Amino acid sequence: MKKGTQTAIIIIFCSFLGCFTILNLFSPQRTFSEAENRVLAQFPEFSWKRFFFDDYTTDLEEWFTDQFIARDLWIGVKAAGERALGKIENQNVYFGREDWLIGQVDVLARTQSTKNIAKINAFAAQSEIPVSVMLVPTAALMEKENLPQGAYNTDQDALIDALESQLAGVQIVDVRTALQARKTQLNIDETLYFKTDHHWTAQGAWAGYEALMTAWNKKPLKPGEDFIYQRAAEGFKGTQYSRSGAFWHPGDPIWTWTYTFPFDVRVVYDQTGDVQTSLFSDQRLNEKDKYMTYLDGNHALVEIETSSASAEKLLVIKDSYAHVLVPYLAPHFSQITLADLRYYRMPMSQLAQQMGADRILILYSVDNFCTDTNLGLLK
Amino acid sequence: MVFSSLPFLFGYLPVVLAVLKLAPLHARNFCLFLVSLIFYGWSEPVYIVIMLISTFVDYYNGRMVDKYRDDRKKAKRFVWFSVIFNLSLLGFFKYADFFILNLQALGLPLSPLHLSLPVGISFYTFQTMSYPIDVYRKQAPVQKSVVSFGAYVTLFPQLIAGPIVRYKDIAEQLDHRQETADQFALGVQRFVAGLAKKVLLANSIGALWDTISALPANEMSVAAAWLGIIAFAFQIYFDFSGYSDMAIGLGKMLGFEFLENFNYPYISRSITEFWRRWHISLSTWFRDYVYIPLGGSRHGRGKQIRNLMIVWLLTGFWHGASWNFMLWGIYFGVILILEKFVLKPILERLPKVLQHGYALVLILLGWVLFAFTDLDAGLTYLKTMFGWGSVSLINARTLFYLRDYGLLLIIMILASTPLGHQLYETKIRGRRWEGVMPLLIAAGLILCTAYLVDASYNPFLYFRF
Repeated sequence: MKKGTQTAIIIIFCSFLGCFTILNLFSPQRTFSEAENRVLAQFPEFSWKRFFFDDYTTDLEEWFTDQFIARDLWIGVKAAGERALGKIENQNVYFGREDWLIGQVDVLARTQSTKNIAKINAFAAQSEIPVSVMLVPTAALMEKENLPQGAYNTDQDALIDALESQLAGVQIVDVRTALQARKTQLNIDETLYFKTDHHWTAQGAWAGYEALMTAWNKKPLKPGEDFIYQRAAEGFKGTQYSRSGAFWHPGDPIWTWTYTFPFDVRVVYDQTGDVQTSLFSDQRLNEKDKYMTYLDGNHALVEIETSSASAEKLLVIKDSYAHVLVPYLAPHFSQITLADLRYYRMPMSQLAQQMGADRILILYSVDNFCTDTNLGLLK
Repeated sequence: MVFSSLPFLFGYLPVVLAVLKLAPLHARNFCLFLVSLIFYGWSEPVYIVIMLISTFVDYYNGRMVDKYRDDRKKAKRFVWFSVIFNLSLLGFFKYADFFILNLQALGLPLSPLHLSLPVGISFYTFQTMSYPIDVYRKQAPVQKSVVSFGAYVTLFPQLIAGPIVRYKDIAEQLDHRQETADQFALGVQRFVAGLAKKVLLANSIGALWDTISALPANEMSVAAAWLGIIAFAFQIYFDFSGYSDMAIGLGKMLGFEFLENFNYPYISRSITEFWRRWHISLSTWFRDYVYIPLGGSRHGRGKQIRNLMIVWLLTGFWHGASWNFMLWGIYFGVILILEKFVLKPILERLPKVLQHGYALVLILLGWVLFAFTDLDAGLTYLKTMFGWGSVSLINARTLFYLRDYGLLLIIMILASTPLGHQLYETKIRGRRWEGVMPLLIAAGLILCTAYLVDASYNPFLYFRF
């Protein structure tokens, strides 16, 4: 080996290791990683007991790794490395066409979904209140053409067909046709799903709203006439962004809307007695998870009272796909209650009776529906 | 602590290199002993005691063997003492629960001990055992300094995953090694190559094996099963040989020259050749310390076959305290015996392609035995590979894996051959293009760091919703 190469190799190696060793010593400690939405390991307090009996050094290594300098930058480098290696996904998020980051849907077993269907059927059989069910596909179906060549996903069309054919005693609301129709009418800056998040957008949810209105024989409100959209925030970088490490992505806009007619709401989250007067939590527009703008994100129970002329009351049993859809429904009901079975612990029939519901809507993303294990209180 | 981790690369290694390079020459073995003990005790501090006892016992055995070098009978006692002592250590920590569980199954009222396995015990017990034997055979001089001997036993570069360094191969270097800039630079090159093999190749393809081996039966296909075991074959090769490269590289940085442990095993044309290229230090160890003492091939064909089977049973069992590893050893023992006595002339007349195909298929089938500690699961997997039952030949999922991992697979096929090495030797080393090496090393370090940081990247996404 030439002398020059030798020196260059030694200098590069020693300075790379040395620099980051020293930089790590002085880099500020972070407590929370926004990209990962989790608390980072902190320096473990030393004690001899911990050292000898409690895996102190494992904690130390975890701290060291979690606090490594420029953590998010390295993760972006890895994602870029995966792309360079010809990978079409990173952490099960596809690098799609036109900046789409699409989560892979891979339903390996139907055991949980079969159980969930049985729960719904049993619930509907004993319920005197009509039950409607809407299973929403994810972007992996509706943005199929933007998936990279060679991507593999569970066929959600077939999956939803199969699940719906097992449902009995409920009204099935077909949202796929509405989504398909809406897709052809989108403006250039609109999408049905977020490019960087696993949820649907205000436009996607509008299709869901139209499908519900048709199913319930109601007349849908019209954008531009009855309500007006606002582009409330830019640069929403959601879950797919975080998972994929595609940190070069500019993010998505967040749309909200206001009604052109006088319309008031009172929203109470988790029975706190604290009354909000908007369906949108504007302070969430400044946070990382901007999807929380819609009905303030995940809550066990959300109670909405409206100034609607209608006397009808609606109970929504749902996952987070409902958050952006329910605001559209508000003008059609005097009261809407949203229950999240992951957090709310009261049998649904009891809740329905208590609020005097006229309709029950069960709304899930089909991907989540196949793995959700919290439908036990659907009774 | 493993080499392919951030705390090692950006904590332990820089400090240790600084200490060892700044320490005066006569204190280097002492420092090496000390930092190696820290490395060893990092995950289980209590086990440092075992390491120290092991060091002193074998140091003493060596001295005694040397003292009685003219009284072979007495000297032999100490050799036996060392062998029994080391095998007991290994037996107790690694195999006790295996025997207990099997005896339990036979109805004996025993309960497993659940001891955590001391890091690298399979490697260092074999190393320390080799020392009194080498002294007894007069193949190595006795080590008069307990510190130098301690440095040999605990030597951190090869402590965890080999290569198994025999005392005679390193005796001279322990006390008289030269540390040159050239050797250090070559060491860096080797270390980074090993790190990249482990972090960029082995870990990445390991994810594919994890996915495929966990697929439910109805999602499997014949092609996926083959792809899965190929992924496993690459994972274990790049993992293990990457680790050996890192050990050899670190050794060079510190002035040691270890023997090679892998020599492109997947280009073999027979299983005999494969085992001359795979984990060389282990096969050499078994040859020198088991096969030859048993009589090797000197007492007729019957004895030779017996000796071969003993060696391969032990080789299998050395890999893990479980039946499947024993089966794996027997599998190769039988193939090797067949090749030796029956197949060799037939194989040699076949076209090269078929020879390669023959070797690769047998190696892959061997990995199925190796990968599944649960024999039933292994059998099911084998059935899938041969289309037994109602399994499709290929499905959309398999095509996706091929697409997603295609380039990585091609890179790994190339990296399994000596092409890169030949390119380096003929076009780069000492020539105009040598300047790319520092750049490659920089790129390797950056990518490996990124992949290591990412390995801890654990987005907690509210259970997706």
